[in-house]
Amino acid sequence: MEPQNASDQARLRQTESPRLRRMWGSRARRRSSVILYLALVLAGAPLLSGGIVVDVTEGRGIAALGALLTIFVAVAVLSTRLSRATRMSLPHRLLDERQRAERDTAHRVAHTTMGVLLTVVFVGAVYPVTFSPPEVVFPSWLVAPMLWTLMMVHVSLPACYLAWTQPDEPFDDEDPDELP
Amino acid sequence: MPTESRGETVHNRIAMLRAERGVSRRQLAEALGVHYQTVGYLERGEYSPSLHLALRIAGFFEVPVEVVFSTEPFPRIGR
Repeated sequence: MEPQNASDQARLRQTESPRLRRMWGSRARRRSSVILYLALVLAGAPLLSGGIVVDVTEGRGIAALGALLTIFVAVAVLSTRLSRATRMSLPHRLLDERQRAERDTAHRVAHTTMGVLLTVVFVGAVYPVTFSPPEVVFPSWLVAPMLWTLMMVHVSLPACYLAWTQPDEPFDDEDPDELP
Repeated sequence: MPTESRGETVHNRIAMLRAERGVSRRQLAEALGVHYQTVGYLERGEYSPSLHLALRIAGFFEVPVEVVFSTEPFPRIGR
């Protein structure tokens, strides 16, 4: 886990800063961030189904577009923070054996979960349309919210899993601010 | 502290040895090439090391590996 170059050193410094570790060491805090992240993703889904682009060109829906952009930014910021909190932002070579094992488990769980989710979506969306009369079509307003939710869950599921399951981080006994 | 993985419990005396030798978590972690939190998780029994890491930990303290790790609980010293 030795840094190979200046970029590695910068990444490690950023992720391992005592202030950041103090902030994210608590499992309760990490879990509340996961809940907030999922809530934001779910809140963004209905906004994507409303034909906002058409509304804006017709002079309506500015508030909805503002809300959607706010959610995009909040989701991006929170996703980045969760990645740093769980060290998903670091390359594999900078992790030790415990961290690599945890990341591998997170990827395995996320892969299985996404497989289940995609199967449910496939069966729910494609099966009824394929085996129904020709007048039954898949509702197009559902496509964007569904893709948004699947994409955001896929992107952050490993970090969310780690944030949720990792216990409170042990304190650094050389950092006077962290001594119990 | 015991680590339970797939029903296999591994007890270790890392915290005791570290305190006895006056070594901080960070010093031990740097000598082993792991994160200091990994030493913390080992001491809390929340992580079971690979055989390679277990041997390096024993090597650091210059004791046989069975002095540091055991499948049976270590006897308590004192009351």
